[in-house]
Amino acid sequence: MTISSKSSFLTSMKAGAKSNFGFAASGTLFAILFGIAAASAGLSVFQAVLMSATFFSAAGQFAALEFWQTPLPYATLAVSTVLISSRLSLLSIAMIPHITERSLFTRMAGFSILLDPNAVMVMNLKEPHDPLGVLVGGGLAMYVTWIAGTFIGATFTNILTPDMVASLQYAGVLFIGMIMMMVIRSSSKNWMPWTISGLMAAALSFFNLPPSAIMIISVMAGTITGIVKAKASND
Amino acid sequence: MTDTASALLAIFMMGAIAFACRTSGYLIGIQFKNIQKYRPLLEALPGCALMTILVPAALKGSSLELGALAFTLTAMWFTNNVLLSSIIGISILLAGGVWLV
Repeated sequence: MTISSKSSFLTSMKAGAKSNFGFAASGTLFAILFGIAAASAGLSVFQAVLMSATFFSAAGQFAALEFWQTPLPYATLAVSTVLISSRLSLLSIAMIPHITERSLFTRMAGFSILLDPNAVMVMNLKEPHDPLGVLVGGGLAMYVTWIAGTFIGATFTNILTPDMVASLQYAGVLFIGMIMMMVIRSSSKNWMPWTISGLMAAALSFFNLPPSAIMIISVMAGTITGIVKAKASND
Repeated sequence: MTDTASALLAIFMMGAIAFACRTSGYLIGIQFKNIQKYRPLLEALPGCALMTILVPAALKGSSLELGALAFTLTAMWFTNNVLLSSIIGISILLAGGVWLV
């Protein structure tokens, strides 16, 4: 099927945005709470919105807030971002058989708003839409609500009392926990590497190690466990 | 509070890394077809990373915060409802922070 026999890019974008409206609406709640958590962690409204606009990943953004302190630990933030965003690499690999048309630059621009819901939409596409248009439309719906929600949350924090803001500093941990629950539900077969990583991180947190070292050692322990487990089940 | 330049640098760095992750799988995958064999590793990594952030952060929490986390995760496990679980957790944090202090 050539691109000319499909819906136009704009029509496909609209279809993608419409299909993804539910995810976009539910993501607004996360965005509002991210805005509150970000403001509680010391980010300005502009910085919180800029983080949502450039990063656009709930798990990665909530994780970053856990390390947001003076001076900023760049290495830890970088390691955390790479490890948590590695899931996005997996999603982009899954797009290879579906998105093959248009220039590489256009495709990469579209991938800048790649997330699970719009990637799944492309993979399950039945109607003759342009896959990149659906990806961009679905992604834009979530992107706009994510930024708007962050703005509302970060602005709303200004009307809270200092006690309330202080008590919400732990909100980020609650949301990382909920995201972890979603990850477990979507792929529970990896419970052993995740458990090993968690136990290793718990043990190492009693030593005076930098967070990036704790993260790298713990993730390595978990992934080695996963590789050994996969080899054992193959044998 | 961190100074503006440091914060902006960190935000743009994280944004650049996230963009690289979003595009690298596709770019490498169209060049090297056998990248699929690393799929199990990529599937396990984000969960491992989240656990290494969640567990030490949870251990640093007060009893009230740990209680909020326990109720949130329990609600999430049984209902799979983000809205309900969020409301429960945030309500406990706010109630504890404002009325119990």
